Amino acid sequence: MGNLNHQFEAKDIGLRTPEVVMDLKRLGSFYPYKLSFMRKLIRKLMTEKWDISLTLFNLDKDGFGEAVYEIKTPLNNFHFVVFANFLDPELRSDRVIAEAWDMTVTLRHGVFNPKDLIFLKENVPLQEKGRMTSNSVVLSRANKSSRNFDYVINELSSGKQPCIKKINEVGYLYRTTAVYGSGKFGMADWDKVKTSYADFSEPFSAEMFSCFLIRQFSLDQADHIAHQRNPKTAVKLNKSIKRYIGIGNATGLGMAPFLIKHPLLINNWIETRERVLAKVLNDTSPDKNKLASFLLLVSRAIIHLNQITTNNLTQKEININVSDDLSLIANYVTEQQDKIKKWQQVTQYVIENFSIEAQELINTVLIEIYPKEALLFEKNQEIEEIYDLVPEMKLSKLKTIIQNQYQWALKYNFKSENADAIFWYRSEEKMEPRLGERNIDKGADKEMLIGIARSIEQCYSTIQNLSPELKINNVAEFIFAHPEYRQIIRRIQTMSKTTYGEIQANLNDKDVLPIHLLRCKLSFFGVGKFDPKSRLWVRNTMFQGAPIVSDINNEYKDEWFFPVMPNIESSKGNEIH
Amino acid sequence: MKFIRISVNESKALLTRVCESHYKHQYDYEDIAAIVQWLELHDLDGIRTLLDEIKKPLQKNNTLTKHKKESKQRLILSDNSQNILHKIRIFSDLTLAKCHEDGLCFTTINNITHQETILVNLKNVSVRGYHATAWWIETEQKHLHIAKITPNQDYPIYKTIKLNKYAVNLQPYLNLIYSKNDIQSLKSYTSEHEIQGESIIQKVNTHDFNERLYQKINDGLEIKFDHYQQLTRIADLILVEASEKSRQGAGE
Repeated sequence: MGNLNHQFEAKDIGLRTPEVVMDLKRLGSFYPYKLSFMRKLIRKLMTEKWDISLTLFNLDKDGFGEAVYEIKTPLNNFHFVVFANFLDPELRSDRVIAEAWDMTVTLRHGVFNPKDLIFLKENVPLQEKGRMTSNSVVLSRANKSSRNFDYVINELSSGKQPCIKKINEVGYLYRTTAVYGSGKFGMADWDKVKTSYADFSEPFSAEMFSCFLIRQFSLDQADHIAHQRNPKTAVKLNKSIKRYIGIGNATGLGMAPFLIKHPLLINNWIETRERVLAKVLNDTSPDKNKLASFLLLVSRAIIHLNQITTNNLTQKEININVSDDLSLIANYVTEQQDKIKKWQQVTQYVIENFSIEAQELINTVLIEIYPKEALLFEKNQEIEEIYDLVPEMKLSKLKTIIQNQYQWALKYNFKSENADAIFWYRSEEKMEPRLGERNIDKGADKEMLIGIARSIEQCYSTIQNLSPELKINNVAEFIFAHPEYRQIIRRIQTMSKTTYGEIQANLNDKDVLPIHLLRCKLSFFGVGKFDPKSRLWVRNTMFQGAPIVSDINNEYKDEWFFPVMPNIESSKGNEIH
Repeated sequence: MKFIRISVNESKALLTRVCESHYKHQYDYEDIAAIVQWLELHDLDGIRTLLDEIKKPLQKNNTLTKHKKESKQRLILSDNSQNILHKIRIFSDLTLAKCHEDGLCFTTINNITHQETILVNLKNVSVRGYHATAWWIETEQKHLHIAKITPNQDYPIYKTIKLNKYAVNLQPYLNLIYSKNDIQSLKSYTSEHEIQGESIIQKVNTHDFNERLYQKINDGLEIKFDHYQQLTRIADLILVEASEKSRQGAGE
């Protein structure tokens, strides 16, 4: 798996075709699943019983100051340093271009050395403008949810637990606005992290872990402020509520170029998911217990969807429709359960009768009820993102590859106004990727090469129109005459050996919906409760329902899938300081 | 002299932006950046080479084909612009394709500078199961450079030899031989210098190349602050001025 040459095997083991899977709308309908990065991380730290302790908690009565969590894993020591500062609410912004935050953090390798605190204090709060050392793994920041934070403190300090319904409206106390790793700002490179800090050798696991600890700090800080405000009456936040409080996230266009620029990695993620699904569909049969588990999870998913709060009308409608679809699917399975001998009967019924969203949600549920099968794919396959040219390839062969595997790209007419109406560029404001309207907005001359479909079409058209007099036979000779196509040809040649990886969409189209790209990537991270703020950015929730640090030595049930509101009587304060 | 430490990934991102800014989409700017980075990671002055090249005017891409002569197993190319970073991979690709076709290709690239840029290409030859040798003379220093790689190696063995006898005023060139079989004919050429007492002043093997790389992966790269500033200035040219309208293009 992972690397190349699975095209023929793919058909044999019943993988879905790339035409189905790599459709942008379908990718934008993926839900977090058993092997999403957050799920993997939590499984790892719970089963390995990571020792996470708060060794410095120097906060004033308003919760401002610094805190250090020390982490002992079976392989390493790390420390997580938090700076909580006052932030003028006027300056609070989810945008990557913000300059100040309520909380800034870093995850570093090694035992915490108090002498480092001065350096960190000078750099971490600056974020992109600071410099980090080569033992730093992650740099991030988060802002308070203005709706929830003060409410929770008020309730706790007056001896009450917050109302769970009110918590549910947002789902978190803090929202991260950027999480940096992989060598940014002088930090440790990914090659170093995956070898020297092997606890985080899974992609994005260090970043996910930092979000997990941001969430933990948000809970510890809330308890602390409530106690400071009224030591006599304050109660600690109920543990069930703590678990239901996640960490928010705002994700914008920055993620989209990443997906386009790392097709081998994306191929790996998607192929893993498809292989797990194929294994479940091919190798299992729905017995009574599994049918009951299926129905239980579907009913949980319905509650979860109904509990999502969003002002985005499209998302609201999607949630309602999928919830209705799930009810009908549950009815069907209940009625037909004696006749259902293969899960394909269920998936086929869903494909024929319900939306793509419902289809993908059902696939996610099916994977969830077969942990043994899914966890066979737990270990990530190493991907070397190498896109070497095959210069000796005959031009005729290249043409055939494009015709067979990039047919989707050739169907667009880039001479039409709409097909090439949008360009992607980087703003001088923190290099943020943005969309511009061609012939209207500035920056088309500095366009990013994101439109793979258009590049393929241009390359193909140039090959088609080559004069036979030039006697160009192979790729090397073609590139000698047309060096502008070297980059796209390397990509075509490499990706032709994979099943997935190319997102089959025209990202220059007038009506392109980058939000599908964001949601696809977020689903692999394990993010849920999508709350789109426009077609270009989305708020979401991470780790909702996941264990908290004090759960680590307890028995772990890997069941925080589609979290639902815990059944709590809001006025009871059961954990007194 | 002031230095700045940057990570390997930062250097990749920065160099890619620099190359996109300078070479635009006319050339494979990501790969050019990868060449520069490879040289820099292996202490072969990639950044200095890039900054040198950027000072020279860039040819239009359709002029390459005017400088190619070809016969069986032989290719003669000319790099009249003396500007090589964006072309070295293309020349190597041509040699490789011809080697695939003819079993061997001997390529001479005339009027070329920064011949060491070929070193990064040799791995691509090796992974295909071919042998490769590259050699060139630096006339001013009277240095002969020889790099050899056998199949399935990550790095060539790279030697610099001080010449006594062969210090002639040659036009700068680079010779390449890519071959399906071991390159016997070249052995006599290279050993000739050694036998006559010329001294090897530098020999870099796989172990040395690896050490250079791992040191950068662990600690990052120290680059001259002045170079860093120059690169950043060039990289920033791909950024678009911000405006209220542009902020809407990010979803505001």
